[in-house]
Amino acid sequence: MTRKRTTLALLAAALLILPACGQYDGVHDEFEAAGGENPGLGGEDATGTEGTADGTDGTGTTGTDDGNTDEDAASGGGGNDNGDAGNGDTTGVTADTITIGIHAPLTGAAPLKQESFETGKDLYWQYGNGGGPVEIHGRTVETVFADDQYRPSTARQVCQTMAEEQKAFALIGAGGTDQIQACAQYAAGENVPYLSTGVTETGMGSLDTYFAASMTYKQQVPILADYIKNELGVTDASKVAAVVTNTPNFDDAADGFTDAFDGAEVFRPDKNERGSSAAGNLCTGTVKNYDVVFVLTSPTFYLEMAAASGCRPQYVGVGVSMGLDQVASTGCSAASSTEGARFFNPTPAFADANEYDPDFLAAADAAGITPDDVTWMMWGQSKVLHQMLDKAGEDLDRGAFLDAVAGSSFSTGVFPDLNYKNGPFGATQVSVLRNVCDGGGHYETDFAFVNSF
Amino acid sequence: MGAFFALGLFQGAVYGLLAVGIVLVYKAKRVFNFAQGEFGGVAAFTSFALVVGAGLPYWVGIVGGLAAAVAMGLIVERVIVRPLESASRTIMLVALVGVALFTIAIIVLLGQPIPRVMPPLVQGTGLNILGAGILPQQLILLAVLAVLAAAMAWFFKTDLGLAVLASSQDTRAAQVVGISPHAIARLVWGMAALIGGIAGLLYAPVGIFTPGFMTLTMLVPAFAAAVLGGMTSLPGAFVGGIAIGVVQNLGIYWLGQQLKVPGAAELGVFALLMLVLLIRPQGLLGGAN
Repeated sequence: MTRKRTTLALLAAALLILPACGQYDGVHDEFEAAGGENPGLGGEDATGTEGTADGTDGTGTTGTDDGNTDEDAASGGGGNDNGDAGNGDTTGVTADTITIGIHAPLTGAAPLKQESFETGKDLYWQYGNGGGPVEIHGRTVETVFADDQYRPSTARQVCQTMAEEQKAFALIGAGGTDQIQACAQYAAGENVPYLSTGVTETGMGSLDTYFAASMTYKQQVPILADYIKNELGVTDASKVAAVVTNTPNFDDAADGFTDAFDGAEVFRPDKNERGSSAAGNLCTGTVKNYDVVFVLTSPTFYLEMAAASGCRPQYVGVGVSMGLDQVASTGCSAASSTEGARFFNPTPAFADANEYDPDFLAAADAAGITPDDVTWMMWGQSKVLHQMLDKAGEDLDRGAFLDAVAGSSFSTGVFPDLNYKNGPFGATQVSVLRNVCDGGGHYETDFAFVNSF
Repeated sequence: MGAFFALGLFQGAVYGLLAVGIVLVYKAKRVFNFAQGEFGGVAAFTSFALVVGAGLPYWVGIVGGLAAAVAMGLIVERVIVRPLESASRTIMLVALVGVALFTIAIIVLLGQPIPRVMPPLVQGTGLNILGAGILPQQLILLAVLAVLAAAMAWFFKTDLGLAVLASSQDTRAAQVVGISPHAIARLVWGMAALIGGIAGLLYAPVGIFTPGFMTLTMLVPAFAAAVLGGMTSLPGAFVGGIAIGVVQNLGIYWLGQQLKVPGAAELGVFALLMLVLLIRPQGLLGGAN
């Protein structure tokens, strides 16, 4: 009986193998001539017109359609860490369009306004060229969007859907550390370019397809420590505390902060703890235990903690969602509990947008929408991506894109200057926002595009 | 440590208020009401819309919020609970989870999932209680919880309360003596929704609130409080809520901050539940049966 089963298994295996061995000559050539492609195997045409595997042609060649690229932005890098230039993977690219996938939390612990995303995701691409659509080597950009619900598992799932079913050429993460990490890791596994605001460096540095469009927490923390010492004038570590959510993705930031402020108290609340419980550490009744409190948590945790605190320490922090006006206005509604808080942010404050890029408000006018800080952030991120796509050249594929970006520099005037010569964490500047409670609560720019204090 | 004790005490008051509603429904109908938190959510959002959105006086917001919660309770009773009365307890439980999720979805659709702040009932700076800054609103919350738990305990000694208990024990027999099961069901669900609404209205101004804030963060500790108290004991729900809040916060302080144990709040609550149920399986104030 056993021998019979073995014979049957061998026969079945042979049936599967033999047809492959017996393929006629030229079948593959005919397949290619008929338009077929097999990116997994490569081939003679698996090289792009720009960029080579060793990166020798990694110089920028073009400016952008809207004239935003300065000379610096077009300067090339020499790096090609990916070695897959012109890999023939043109998913999401047609003769006329490029499809981009964006994920962000519309629900969960760091919820962002849905309308802002709906209007903001296309604002730059549809109206960024003097009120008309932006064209990159004759192609316009279309976007698809998904709510990651502030959950890493959902983020990975929606990124997969956008990349595989909706055929997004590249993915963008708008906020949420764990979600960005989850999607970036998926994207790297599938060779999909992935761009996000800078978050953790844990598990991200080795991802070939990932690029941070602003400074990571680890990069920002030493600058923040200098800011506390030199701008806020607090040098006594016993007067400084850090409240950092207990996730491995924030370990690098917490360690960096204690390196800079040796002896500072660090509290690591669990993800599902309530901010009101953390308030017990900050004050004794209405007397503050610390002059400065570094916060790296979800916005809702921060707001709860601030609202429940009987005292008003100076809150400071790094990140992206903390710099949203929604956070500022909510904190102000809760007895001005966050007034004066300072947060590092990728962009200057939305309130000052016109000073840094007048095209933004003009585009919003042309689109007939009411802009806000979320649309402003997406505008900046879109400008970064525009320059990257432009640099990848006319014969766009994922390999050419990755090749063009690695080692190159970009400058938008909205996001920090970027230089990917030494890896994916290429941002070199931050802006400092201050929570102002006049007029409903919002952020204003204290410093724009600085790299030291 | 004193600050964590005080914060836990006042956080526990919210758990206690929700637990009183859960126990009320369980005691009267033997149903685990997973929609209890959303009675508070609906009340808070309705009140916010009236007070902050429409600029109406605070009392209008309170009345409107409570009316919305009670209306929701009556609708749930008529549309979900009554048709499923003869179904298994599991089906009822799942249906009520569905009610909670559906309500959250509706609130998200209508109100966006952004954080909000409800103005407090009483303005004032924090009082120093054991080192914690406690808002006047939190003091009101604790007082209301004590009064409600006592009132509910008293209610079950009245004729109407006894009718509720009779109906829960044998509906047919209760009908024979003239007790309408539908009227009793309406009364119980209306009261539970009112208590949930009060919890939502009192808790929303303490911090910030988002859609689902009562269900997602308060409901599980409230169930733990109800179980700890004995599941059928209203004073037990009060004591259980306070105990859960205090143990949660002391767990954060001792286990989390001093001993660096992850998941300290949950671990503390779990240990307390295990200890009480091992020593006294009927809960702190539950009956022997």
